Amino acid sequence: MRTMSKKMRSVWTKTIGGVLLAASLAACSGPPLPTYNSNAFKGIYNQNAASVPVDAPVSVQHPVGIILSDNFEIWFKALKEANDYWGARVPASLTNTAVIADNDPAFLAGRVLQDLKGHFPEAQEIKDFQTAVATGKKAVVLVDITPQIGQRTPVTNKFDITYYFFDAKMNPVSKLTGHGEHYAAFASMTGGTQDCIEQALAQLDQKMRVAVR
Amino acid sequence: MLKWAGIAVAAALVAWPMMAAHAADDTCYETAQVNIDCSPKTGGGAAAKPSPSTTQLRDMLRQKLANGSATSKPPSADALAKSIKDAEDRAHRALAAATGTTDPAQQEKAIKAYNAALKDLDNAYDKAAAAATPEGRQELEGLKAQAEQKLADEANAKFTAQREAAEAAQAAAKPKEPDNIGMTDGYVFVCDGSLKGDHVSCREIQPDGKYCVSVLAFDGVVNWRDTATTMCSPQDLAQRAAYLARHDGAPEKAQAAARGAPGCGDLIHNYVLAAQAQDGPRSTEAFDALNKAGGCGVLEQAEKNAHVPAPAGDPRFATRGDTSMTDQIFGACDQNPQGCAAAIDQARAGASPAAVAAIYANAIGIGLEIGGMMGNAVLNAQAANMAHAAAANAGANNAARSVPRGNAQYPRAISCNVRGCITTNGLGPSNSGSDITGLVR
Repeated sequence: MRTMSKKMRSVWTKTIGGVLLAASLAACSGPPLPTYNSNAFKGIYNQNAASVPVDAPVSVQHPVGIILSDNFEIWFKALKEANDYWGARVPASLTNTAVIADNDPAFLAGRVLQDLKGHFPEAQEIKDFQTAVATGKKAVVLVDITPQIGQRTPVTNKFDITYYFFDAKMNPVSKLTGHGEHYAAFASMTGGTQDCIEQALAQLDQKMRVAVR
Repeated sequence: MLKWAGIAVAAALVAWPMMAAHAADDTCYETAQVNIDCSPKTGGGAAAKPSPSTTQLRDMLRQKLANGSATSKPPSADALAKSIKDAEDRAHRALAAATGTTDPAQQEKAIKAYNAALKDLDNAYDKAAAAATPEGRQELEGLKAQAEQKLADEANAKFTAQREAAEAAQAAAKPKEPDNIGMTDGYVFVCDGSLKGDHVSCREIQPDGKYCVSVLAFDGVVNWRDTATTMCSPQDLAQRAAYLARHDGAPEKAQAAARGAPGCGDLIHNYVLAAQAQDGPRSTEAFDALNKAGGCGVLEQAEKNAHVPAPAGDPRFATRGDTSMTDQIFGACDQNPQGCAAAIDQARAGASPAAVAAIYANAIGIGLEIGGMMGNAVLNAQAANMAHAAAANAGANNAARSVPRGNAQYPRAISCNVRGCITTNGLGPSNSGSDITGLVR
């Protein structure tokens, strides 16, 4: 009788734990949230990004270089840590693959590149401004992200994408921001990151049509 | 090589005043900053008589000095002759050393020694002349000029020979210009044989550096040209690039020809107008059109001009830290757009309502499985209780039967499912047909 009771307790514990983990994974709780750089230029360009004119018209010369802010690295690392964290705790059969797909780094990278190359087909991703000058880039778009993805549902998740435009002399001349929001209801399986990114890029696209020549 | 040339020139400069002997100044200079006398008083290079031997010189000096001043003791003729000969020998040796080496340091040292020997020779003759009769003095000055001229000729000849040998070596080391390639009006021709051959097959590479026209050349003159234009082979383009690099002014000629190609004027003009109007889309369009036309000789140049080296230490540019994940993820997407698009589609599908529904279905399935496990556990517990109770009753009420320990009267269930339990006596669940389906399982 005592043996059976232990087995029962174990089965119940696993069941409840699995359900709780699945629910919490949907809300993306787990490792502590990363801290993003408030200055998008940090570690790239010695100036505060806040001083760049907002939505100023800009004439972009070709070829264009694309530089990604350090916030991308922070976001990608946070995603990897979260995946590793949950991978070690949740059985494969209960893994919330939807939230993993929703936050797939390739989605963000691919969509940002698709969007920029839609405007500047010959644009190339480069590491820094030294490379931009050395490779003869006449303009640089520095891309920054500000993810605000909550840990627990219900939550309104937000994701901002900002393009900073640099002229041929590598001076920042304009910044355009796209904003995306998604309400994740209680026990939602995803946080709507893809939705947020698509909204932000759509906004950016509209702004670029107006401001970028 | 430049240093060697400099030294050769310096050596020639040393030799020249002595050889010509018509310098207006009293003093000449060479690279080693050793002064040498090149005054016209030496008589210049007019003397052509062979220089006397040491014995002749000594005899002549004895004769001339004998009539010298009586107030002071005349120097020994032997000593004067020896000092002249010694200086001459040292000059010859130094000259041989200077022309016998290609080491600039050794040459410089030898030239200094040569100039010092010349100076000593000059002094020795001057001493002898000072001690000689007026006639003897004149004769000695002639001899001095003759000796110096001889040395100058020798130096000139040796340095000329050395320079020619160096030039010959340089020419031998230089790769031979291939005879299958040439240029006319900015168009480079690459042929299968010598360009001067008889009906040799060639490709006329257009100034855009991309397209080729097949031609036949006869003794360097095109006498047949194909009407079709094809993409040039990489080999032909490589030969063209090498040719342009080898010949000064050739790239400029090719560029000028490219600018003059049909349609290029309009393309360039349109592009410049669009750029000046700050019209992004039109600039892009014009750029593409120009690019498709091969750049018309201006895009390549603009590209070169744009590739200015990065300003060292631009204070605005920070040195980036580790961005390995970003590089990896974006790099993969940048280099493989198709693969990236597929990854985007996959991510979309993975987060789609259908995927979420699949996760829910999976969770439900697992829940049901767990429910089944729970049911089994309950049944097992019941069966065990029953067996335990029966055994206890049997032990208490019917001890006389002496049932062996562990061999209860009622078999104990060890595993159960919804259809029954497997018991310790090995009997499984009933295999009777289902009440509902009538099937035998």
